[in-house]
Amino acid sequence: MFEYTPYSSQLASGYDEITTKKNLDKLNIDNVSEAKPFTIALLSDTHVHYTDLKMAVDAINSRSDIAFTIIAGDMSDQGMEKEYMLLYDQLKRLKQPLLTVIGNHEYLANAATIYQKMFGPANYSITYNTYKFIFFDSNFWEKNGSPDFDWLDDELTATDGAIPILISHIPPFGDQYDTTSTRIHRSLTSGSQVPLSIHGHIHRYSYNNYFGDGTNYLVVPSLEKRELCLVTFDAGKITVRRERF
Amino acid sequence: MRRLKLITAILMLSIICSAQKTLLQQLSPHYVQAQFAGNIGLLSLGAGYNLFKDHVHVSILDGYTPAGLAGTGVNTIAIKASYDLITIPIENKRAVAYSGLGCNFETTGKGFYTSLPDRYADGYYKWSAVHATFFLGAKLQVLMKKRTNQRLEFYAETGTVDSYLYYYATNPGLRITDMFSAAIGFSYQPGKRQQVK
Repeated sequence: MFEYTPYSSQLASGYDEITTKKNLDKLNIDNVSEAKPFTIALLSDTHVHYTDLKMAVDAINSRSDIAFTIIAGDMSDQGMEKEYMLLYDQLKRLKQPLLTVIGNHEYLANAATIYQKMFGPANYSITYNTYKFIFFDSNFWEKNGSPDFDWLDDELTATDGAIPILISHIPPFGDQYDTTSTRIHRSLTSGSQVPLSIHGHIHRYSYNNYFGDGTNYLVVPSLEKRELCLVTFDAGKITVRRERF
Repeated sequence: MRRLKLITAILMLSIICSAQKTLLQQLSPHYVQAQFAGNIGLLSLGAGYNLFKDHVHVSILDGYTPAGLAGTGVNTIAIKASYDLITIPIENKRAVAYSGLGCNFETTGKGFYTSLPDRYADGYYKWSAVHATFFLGAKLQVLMKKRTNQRLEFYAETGTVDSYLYYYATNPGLRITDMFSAAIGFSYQPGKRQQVK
C-alpha cells in the first residue's frame, strides 16, 4: 500500500516461495546419479517484458519433458522492487523447478539485496543426473570487482566425475571481460573440459565453439525475441533446439 | 559632485534593500509540509507556494528512506505541482479533490544513473535517478483564521512513477492498481501577517 522509494529492497513477505534453495531441494528429490535423458528450458534477459514472460511460462508449463528451467540473468531494468515483484508473479507459476543466475541489472540500485532475498546466493551448483550445473556470477563493472574465479576453479575441480556445465550471465567473450579475465576464465573451463557454457547478456542467439577449444557457448536470446532454448542431455550428447512461443 | 555620487549610492542601496525585503517576503513559502511514503521517502519534509488564486500548489520536498528499508539509504528530492479539481466548503473547512504531476530526483543511493560512465555503450542502462510522478488525492483544509488564511491541511493521495506506467502500457494483462501506492501528509500555512502601522 505504501511505497517509500521505487528502489526499496524491503520485499514484502510471500516473495520467498521460489528461492534457489527451495528449487534445489525439489530437484534433489527426483535426482538420480545414473545417466538418464532429460531436457531443460532456458530463458534470459527477461527485463520488464511481463506479457512475454507470461507466455514463456505458459509454453514451459504446457510441456511435459522439462526437468527444470534456467534464467540466465537480467531480470529487471532499473533494479526497482516493483520489477522483481511483477517478475515473481509470473515465475511462481512455473510447475517445474527454476534456477537463476545473477545478471548485471541485478546489481543496479538495491537489486542485489532483492535478488538475494528472492532467489539466493550469486554462486552455487547442483549435480543433477551425471551433470554438474555451476551457476557463476560473471559480473564486473557494477560490482567494482572481479568474479570469484577461485570459487569457479574449486567447483570445476570437484566434479566427482560429473560433466560440468557452466551458466553465467556475461560470456567470457562479453563486454565486461578484459583480455586477462577472458584468459583466466578460459584456462579454468578448457582445463575441466566444459562441453556447454550457457549465457545471456548479448540478447541475440548464438551457439558455437567460440574459442575453438571444445566448449560450446550458447547465448540465450532475450525474452522479447519470444524464443525458448531447449537443451537435451542424452548419454553424453547435448542437443540445443529453439522453439518460438 | 562627490556628494551627489554618495547620495545616489545611498539612494540606490536603500532601493535595493527595500526591493530585497519585498523579494524575500515574496520568496518565503506559504506553507510547510510533511509527507509519509509516496515514493519520496519514509518521511519527507518541505515547503510550498499557492499559485493562481490558490488553485495550484507547488511543493519542494526532501525525503529519506533509511538503509533498513532500501538496502542503502535513498535520499529523494521531489517537486510536486497539484491542481485543485473540486472544492466543497463545509463550515470552516474545505474538502478538495486534486491531481498533480511531480518530478523525483534520487540524490543518494547506489547505482543511480543520470549519465553513464564512458565504458558503457549508449543505452546500456536507462536513466534511473530521475522519475516523473503522477498522483490523485483528497485533502481537508481546516481554516483556522479566515482573515489571514491561516490553515491546516491533511491529505491522502495515490500515486505512481513513470516507469510503472510504462510497464503497464507495454504489458497487457498487468493491473493498474498494482502500479499505484498511497501517501498521507499534512501542511500548515501560517497565513498573511498583519501589516504593522
